[in-house]
Amino acid sequence: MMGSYSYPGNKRVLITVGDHQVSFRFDMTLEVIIAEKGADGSILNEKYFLLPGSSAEELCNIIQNENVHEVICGGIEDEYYQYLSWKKVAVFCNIIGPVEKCLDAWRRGVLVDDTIFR
Amino acid sequence: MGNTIDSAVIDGLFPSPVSLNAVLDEIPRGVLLLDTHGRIVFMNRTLCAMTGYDVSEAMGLSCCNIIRSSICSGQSPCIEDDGNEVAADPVTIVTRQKQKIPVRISRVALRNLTEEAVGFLEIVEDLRARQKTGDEANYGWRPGNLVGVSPRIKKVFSILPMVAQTDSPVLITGESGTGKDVIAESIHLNSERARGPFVKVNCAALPETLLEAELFGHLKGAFPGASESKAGRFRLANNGTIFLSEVGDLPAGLQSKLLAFMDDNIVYPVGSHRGVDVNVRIVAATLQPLDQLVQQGRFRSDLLFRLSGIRLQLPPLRERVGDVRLLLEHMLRLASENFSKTIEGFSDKVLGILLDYHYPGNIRELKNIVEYAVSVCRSENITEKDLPDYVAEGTGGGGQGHGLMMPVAHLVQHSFGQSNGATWEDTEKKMILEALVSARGKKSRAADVLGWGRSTLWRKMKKYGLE
Repeated sequence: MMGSYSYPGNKRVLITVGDHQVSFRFDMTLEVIIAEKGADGSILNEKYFLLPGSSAEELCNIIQNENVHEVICGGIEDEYYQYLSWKKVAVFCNIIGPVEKCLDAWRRGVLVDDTIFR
Repeated sequence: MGNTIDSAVIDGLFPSPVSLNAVLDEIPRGVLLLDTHGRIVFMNRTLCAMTGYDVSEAMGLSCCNIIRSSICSGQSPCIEDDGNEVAADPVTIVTRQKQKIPVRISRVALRNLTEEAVGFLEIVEDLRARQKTGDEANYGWRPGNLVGVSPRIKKVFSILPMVAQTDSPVLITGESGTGKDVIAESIHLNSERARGPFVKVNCAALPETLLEAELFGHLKGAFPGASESKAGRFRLANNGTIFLSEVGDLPAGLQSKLLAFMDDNIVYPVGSHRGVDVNVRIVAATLQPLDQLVQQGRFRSDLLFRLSGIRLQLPPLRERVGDVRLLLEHMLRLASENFSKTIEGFSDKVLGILLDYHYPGNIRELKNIVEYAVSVCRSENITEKDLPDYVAEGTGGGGQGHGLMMPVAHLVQHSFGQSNGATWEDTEKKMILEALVSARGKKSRAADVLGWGRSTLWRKMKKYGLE
């Protein structure tokens, strides 16, 4: 969907989305945004995808197929968290708030687990 | 109700006003108060323990962000509610600690004296203790995910029902990945406290000052950044079980405070001289040799004795003869269900490789290997190409020893038992260094070799100055 990286040093993130907010549960997500940032922190590419149904397994597949390095989500079951960690994907979990603010914090490299944007 | 429940009282029923907050906190089910927009006004202590969020964090957020139930998808039922009582069929919630918990949620509209809807009351009931398996019905014991027939593990399993029925502190020891967490939760779920909360705290995850506030709570303004009072994990675990993992990493100051708590069951939040009675059972776990830490003066002997009311030593997988095959089948079934795949089994060659493998990361590593294989497998049987490279390569080669990654932790763990005067730190440091060398400096790969998470490796490298 996103194609190959324009530069190997770029980073790609997948954000689980629901109504412009980070979706509250990884396994119930129906929309995602995949964004790519350059070494200078600028967003180079950002795409929005609607999923045909909610499935944690399908999301894991998308994350691997799209070469995503990092995931931003709300609640996530330990099993999928461990699986993604095993696949070397960093997961920022328990994130609550508008997607825009999360993406900006990720872009600036200041996003941490459990952040609540009010 | 106003903006804060702290000032809300029940007036007129008793000789003097009673705090509503205190009443709701004593209810052994999760209680949630929402405004008409479905935003959280209050959560009681049981619900805080269940979800992992404090009231101060949850206040003002949409309930779906905190409760995260499977009925929250789409439009929140609160928004279009007609005010009638709703009792949802058993659903699941995902907690901050990444646990999926079956619950039943009941909701009713709250109305003022003129019948105008002013908010909602939700009751969240934890159903974990009610989910009986066939084993429980037959034998009165719910083994959960406990799998094994080897004499070493059967000995542990056989005493678990008795352990669960007592209220003594339990100390679970064993290497990383041997299932200490699973055993601790099984003990809780089969105990009289099963309907109470099971609260897990990783003693190695936080620095001392934060850990103290996390465990015992703090008052507003007790230290810079403490903008709200916090109940602390011990109070959240009231009438339930608190599981202190990595208790060997508990800082000295907190060891004394934990000991004092075990003496009188009173919690003193940071910044307060007023104690709070708490009724919790303590289950602790560690992979460190606590007796050795006591000899080195790094762990209080009196705390060790108090924690060791009942001591369970979990054997490493390599000493559980016959269990690898069972666990492989068990994990294969679970992973196939999770990944919605129909995989019948392992090819003979793969089975041989997996049965010969030494699993330095124990059951956690076995589970990861099977999940990896299931996720990449595209046929009915798992073949050699579906295995992670280090497993397939490590045991191949016709008895030429093990490959790049496999043996490090295993060999060091064996040599640890035979070492003369080597401390645990020395051994662990050596394990890390050897893993890093064998992984050619790649930390993530070294973590896999050791059977640890990457954060654990990072923390230990920092501890030993190996960065």
